[in-house]
Amino acid sequence: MPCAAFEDLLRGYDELTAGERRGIDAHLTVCGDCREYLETLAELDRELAGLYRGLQPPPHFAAAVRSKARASKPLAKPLRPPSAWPEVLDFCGWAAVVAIVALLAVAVAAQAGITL
Amino acid sequence: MDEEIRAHLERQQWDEAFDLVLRQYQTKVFHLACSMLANQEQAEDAAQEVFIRIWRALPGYRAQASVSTWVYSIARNACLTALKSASARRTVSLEDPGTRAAAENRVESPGRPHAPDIERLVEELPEKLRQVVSLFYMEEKSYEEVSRLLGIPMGTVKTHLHRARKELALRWRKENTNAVRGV
Repeated sequence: MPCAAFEDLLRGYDELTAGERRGIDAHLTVCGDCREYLETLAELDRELAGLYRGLQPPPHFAAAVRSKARASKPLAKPLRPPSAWPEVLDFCGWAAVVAIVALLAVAVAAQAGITL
Repeated sequence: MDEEIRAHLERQQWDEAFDLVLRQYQTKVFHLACSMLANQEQAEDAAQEVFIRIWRALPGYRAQASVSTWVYSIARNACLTALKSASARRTVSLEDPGTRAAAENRVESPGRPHAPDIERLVEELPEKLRQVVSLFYMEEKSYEEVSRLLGIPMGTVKTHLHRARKELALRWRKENTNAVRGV
């Protein structure tokens, strides 16, 4: 296992500045475990790059997509603008609340004998 | 290229716009699909579905978003749908002829008879880590591209990649040690 203090730094070794690397390089000259860990990371990096490098869609891909796409048409027109109904319903709701409150106020006032 | 695509869209030249979108984004979309689905055959189907959706949605494109942001967002949604339906029907069995053939045909590299199988190790990673690490190498180690394609902050990409490397290094060393011991 690598030294706990160096493990994270070793995983980001490629992106360290020259100054940051100097301290780690000095440690690597005396620590076999950290050296071995860095070699493992480099090996992994090569394997991963080899596994995914140059991955391309198959040659027939674009032709297949074109023929499928053109069997249908793009949507005839852009999406409709948002409906005004939610605004109207919102207004009606608030108007109803105001009307009920006003009626209640009138009723309470009438019971109390207050003339508006 | 994006300016050209926008110009065609403004003039409602759907065919021309679509050809450019396809040419510009097919590899990126395919990479995204491969990273999300971890299966090239399914990735190809999902990537085709992405472009069908793009074709149908061309008239709805709003210029507020960049073309790439718009394309990647459609691609992520289509891949998520494909991922859900693939997970629902995924039953890997050794009785499946494809799986059995793959197991039988697995050849070990000469000179490294016990090298761990990196593809399998990546497949065994948690989904988010697998997506980030595979896309990072497909996109030639560009944090920015991975961030744009997956729609996540660059800091998150770096964190996931860091964790993926830690996990892979641990498993890689463990398998190497087991192979040397003949376990």
